[in-house]
Amino acid sequence: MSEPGKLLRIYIGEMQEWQDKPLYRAILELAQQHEMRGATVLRGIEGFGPQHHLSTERLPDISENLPILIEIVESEERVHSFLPLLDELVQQGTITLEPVEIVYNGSRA
Amino acid sequence: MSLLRKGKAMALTIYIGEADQWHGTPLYVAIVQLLRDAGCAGATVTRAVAGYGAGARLHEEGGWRWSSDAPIVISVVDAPYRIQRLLPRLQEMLSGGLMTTQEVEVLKYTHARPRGLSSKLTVQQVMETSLTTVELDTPVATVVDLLLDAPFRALPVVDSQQHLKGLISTGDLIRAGVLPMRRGLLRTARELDSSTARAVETPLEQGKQSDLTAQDVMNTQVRTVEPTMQVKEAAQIMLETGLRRLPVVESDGTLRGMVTRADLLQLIVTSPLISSQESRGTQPLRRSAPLNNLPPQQQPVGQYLNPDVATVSSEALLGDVIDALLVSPLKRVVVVDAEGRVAGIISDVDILAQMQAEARPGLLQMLSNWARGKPGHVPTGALQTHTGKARVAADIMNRDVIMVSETTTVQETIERMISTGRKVLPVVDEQKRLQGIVGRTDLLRILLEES
Repeated sequence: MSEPGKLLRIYIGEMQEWQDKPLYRAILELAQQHEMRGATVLRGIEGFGPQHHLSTERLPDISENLPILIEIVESEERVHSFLPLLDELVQQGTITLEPVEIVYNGSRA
Repeated sequence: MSLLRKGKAMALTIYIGEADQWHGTPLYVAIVQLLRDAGCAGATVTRAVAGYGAGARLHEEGGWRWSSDAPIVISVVDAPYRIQRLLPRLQEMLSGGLMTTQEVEVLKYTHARPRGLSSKLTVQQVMETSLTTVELDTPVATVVDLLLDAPFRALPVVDSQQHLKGLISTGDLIRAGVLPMRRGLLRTARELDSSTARAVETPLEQGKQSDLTAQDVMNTQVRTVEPTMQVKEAAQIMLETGLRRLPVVESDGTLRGMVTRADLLQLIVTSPLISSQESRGTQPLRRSAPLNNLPPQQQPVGQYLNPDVATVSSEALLGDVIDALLVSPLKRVVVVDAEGRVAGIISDVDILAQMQAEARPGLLQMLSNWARGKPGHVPTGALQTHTGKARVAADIMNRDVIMVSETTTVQETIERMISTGRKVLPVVDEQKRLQGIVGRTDLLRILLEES
């Protein structure tokens, strides 16, 4: 009983903030308010973004802004209604969307 | 500062082990280094807590151990061509592990250079150095062939010491009576029906027969810049003079390169996801109200547009369209419907390509006269009778108009312009009603405002 869905990936930095709280937390709360069925936040151990500034846990001097990756899987419709809200929050970062097949959906079971 | 665009990109995912090595450094560190050196859009390395791979060796986070061999996942999102180019080198580095690629849609990618033209940048850092040049005694036929087929628009003339003596553009060739009309039209005409092609080939061949050489047609009053000049100053000179390209010359007169308006605009388009080869639309998901303290680059383009744009209604007769086109400084006419919404855009090339074959040589003759400064009477009446099915603006207009909304930022407008190769973009309001037009020079001027 699979259904088509979308995987939304948001790449940001750990130091980024939204209204005095970590941005990834704000995104999580927003996703919850919007009743997205789930979100997973992963902290990277190394990476770089458009500015080409490296951050890595290996070197304490450049370890405070490690990459954060947030993954959200939802129906296309719900992802699209979420995007304008998300756009407001993410001033810097990369957002990608790709098709996935949802083969098990525990939250709706 | 955000760049929102709908575009296809590729996500590359690499699965390796944390203990994997490459020439004495952890493999993932070496891979990130490679990706950074290659100018990739970005990379994120995450460490998983457990897993196993092709080697069937159980990876687990170290915890109590001193070293860890947890699975490592490296994600890269970038333009497909860049990833394809990197794959062989990555495959060489991996001994085991797994790599996957997946097409993704990029909804947002923010920018590397959020502020205009840096005062640290000098002309020699951005100029084009591989130039085609001609010598003073190069026959004009060679000059014509070079200029018609080359990607550049002006040909520097140098002596045997590589000292710049002059510059030849298609405009100079038109004035010298060698070229019948501008390059875009010539190229289009050559690809149309045989009698139209002949209508331009004949004068072109005659022009090429002349005994003139490069020094007879070149422009010697050339404004040049030095390699160490700041790009901002070069931009200022372009704005003041209206020149689109400046030769870069050492103090002893040696030609070093060429810097163009497009090079300067390209400077702030640093996103690797934008390629000048591709043309894709940009659609903002949503725009919030502009903030007054934002630099001009991040302000909506609506504040800077030029409201003076040649327009015709979609029912305008062809003769009127041509009249409007000839007097339009931007060489474009925007077609609007009764509500002022943009319906299409027309350039001289569109008219030529869309009109009936029999009428084309007549139009070319007219445009040719106009280009040589002999406008005389525009024979619109004569044209009407020969244009066949194409009678009004709506019949010949290009309906696929690339335009921007007045709330689009200056930054995004520049990106749009570079990625689509357009020189001017109509600016519209939410109802698609025409508000004005913005050209490359306008955008360069805005970039100079901030400092």
